[in-house]
Amino acid sequence: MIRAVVHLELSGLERFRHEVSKPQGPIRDALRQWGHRYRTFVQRRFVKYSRGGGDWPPLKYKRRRGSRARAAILRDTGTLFRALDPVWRSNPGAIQQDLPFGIRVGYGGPHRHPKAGISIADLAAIHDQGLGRMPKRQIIVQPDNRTRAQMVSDMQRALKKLADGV
Amino acid sequence: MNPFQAVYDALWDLVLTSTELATLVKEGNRIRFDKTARNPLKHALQVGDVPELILLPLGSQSANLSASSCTTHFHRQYQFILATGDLRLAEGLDTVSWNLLCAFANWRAVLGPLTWNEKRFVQGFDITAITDGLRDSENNKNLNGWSSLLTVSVFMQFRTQDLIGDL
Repeated sequence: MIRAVVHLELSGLERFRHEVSKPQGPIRDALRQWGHRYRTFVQRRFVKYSRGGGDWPPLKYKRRRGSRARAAILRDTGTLFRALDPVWRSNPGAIQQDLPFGIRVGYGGPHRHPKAGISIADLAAIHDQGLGRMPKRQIIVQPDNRTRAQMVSDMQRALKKLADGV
Repeated sequence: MNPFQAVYDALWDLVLTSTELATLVKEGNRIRFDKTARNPLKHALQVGDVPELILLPLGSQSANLSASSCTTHFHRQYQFILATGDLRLAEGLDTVSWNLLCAFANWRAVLGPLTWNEKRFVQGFDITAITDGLRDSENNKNLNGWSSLLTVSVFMQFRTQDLIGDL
């Protein structure tokens, strides 16, 4: 009988797996940079769409006061907008959570909207999904190609750093 | 990694968050002094060696050891030296400089989260001077072209007790 015994040297892979799952280090930095990239993208999109440059339905009723007659869509108090600030500042209604090899960003938390009387996250969900009588105005969407390319670049740089032992 | 090393490393990260800069300035043309090479400087530039970007620590404007009863403030300056080896503004100086400016605007996301002793310590980042020059033989070495010196200042704040504890 011929028997082949193959030994796989996986200590490098194990070390890599350990590094990737660490709460600090280049991979975590890159994932947080992803969060920043994503919020930059959705906030920039928010600006464009709230000015009528996307597929958000226009406001149904014009507001009464002068300058507000041209109010931007979903920008009444600026709360939904500010929750998407690119730099993480724990703004009301914003979340950023580290996940295993990932990051969760968007709306969340218990903060109440100053006018709606419900939580900011719930209000965002109502607009985002068009719940009740609200028209659908999607805020949380897939990142565009440019943002994805930047994310790929961030992770490539982080992996190289990890490989270099920085 | 101590805070100075972390800031130096993060300044390169800051530059390279710009995918345009990461493409424009090739890896071999990013001269950094935190790697294993004892002398990473190139003494003569070939066309493939530009644009070249060097990051130097420049020292400090001020270090206030008694900023408050419990904090120490430190402003450390760094200089990016850009050698384009190219006299065309659009292909050389303007493109890289503009992308550097855009990258620097992202400082809060890259420098802001740096921690030492589990505390964030970078409180501010500013561009303090930008000087462009033509035929700067020292920076462009043997190639004619625009060069630029971008001086930035990083404001760090530490708990004095943490500094003493690190003795």
